[in-house]
Amino acid sequence: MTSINIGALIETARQAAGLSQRALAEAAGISQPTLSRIISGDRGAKLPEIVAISWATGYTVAQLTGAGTVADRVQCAARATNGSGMAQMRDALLHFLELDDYLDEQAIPATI
Amino acid sequence: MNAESEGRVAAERFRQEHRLGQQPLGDLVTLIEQSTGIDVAVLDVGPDEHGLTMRDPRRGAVFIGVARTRHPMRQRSSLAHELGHVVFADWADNTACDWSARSPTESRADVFARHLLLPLEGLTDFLAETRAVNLATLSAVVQRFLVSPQIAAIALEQAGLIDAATKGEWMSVTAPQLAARFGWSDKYQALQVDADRRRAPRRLLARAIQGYADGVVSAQTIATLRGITPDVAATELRDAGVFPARHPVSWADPGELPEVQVDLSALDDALHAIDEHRETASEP
Repeated sequence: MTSINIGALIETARQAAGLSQRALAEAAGISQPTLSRIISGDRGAKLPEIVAISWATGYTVAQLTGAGTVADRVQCAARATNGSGMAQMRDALLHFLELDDYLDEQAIPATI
Repeated sequence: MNAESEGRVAAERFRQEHRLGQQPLGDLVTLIEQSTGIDVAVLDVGPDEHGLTMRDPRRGAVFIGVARTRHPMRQRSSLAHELGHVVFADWADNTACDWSARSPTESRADVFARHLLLPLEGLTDFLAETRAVNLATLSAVVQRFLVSPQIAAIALEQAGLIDAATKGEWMSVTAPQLAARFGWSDKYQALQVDADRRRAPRRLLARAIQGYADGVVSAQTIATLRGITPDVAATELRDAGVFPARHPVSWADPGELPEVQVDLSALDDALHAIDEHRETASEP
């Protein structure tokens, strides 16, 4: 089984939320050194910390723990140039699909 | 059928099914969202990432992303191109995507985009009164249908209004050049500003706001979708009368709890038995 790099997932969420490490630590109620160690992979993240980071970044717990299954099954069609890997756009759209999936799970109806 | 005729037929059918007539398509993002139910986002991404469509096959959810850009005509053609992929169901596995490859499906999506944005019938109707087709005509077509001069030149040739040599010449003209020369720079700049702005996927955002009101997601979720701060998001929602739900926890007074009779004699017996066992064991 491939180990999931939770630190990297948290880092992606932090960047997408436009938060500095300090701002995220504060919003999640974790000390900045602890957050920094979680992101670098020196220390594991406890579930309450992940829940707090989820609330503070707007990413779902499933996304932060790599438990989201959407990424494994999505299909795509793209337009890029110069061999671009489309990393940023791919991450953004995956986030939309994961969030959409989560809102489904939470039985939040579509309003429009 | 080749890419050209497949793309053209599909674009004509799309216009017909969604009752778009032969008119220019204004705000393409809203048009796609309203006519297809697909969510569209304008994203802040790298310069070579033009457009991407992602689909969750389990739930059928589809998202189209295009890049923020100062090139409004290119953004429109990227959007129409991605819509073409949806129409033709050009789905590839996420891992198998070669993002820059020029495949027949890419050409077909380009053709779809060209005919969707600039239908030949609409073009000939628009130019019915025109006697001489010149650079001012090209400018008028570009301005009206909001397409690149390249798309306009190809369509003008297909409609038999210009020859191949003129088309070749006009392929190197740019939209800002036409705007500057024919007096619609102000409009072009307004289009630039509009194309260079982030836009969150509208339906997902509306649903996330419902989730926020139900206390299922945080203000940061809304902020992350929109690329703004959670404070701004929360203030805007509060001003609109949207507040996160409070789920009060009902605490009980210990005095109201029922009396519970617990018979501890069995436990005493068991502990006593252990003590006796220890005493016996410790004897030499």
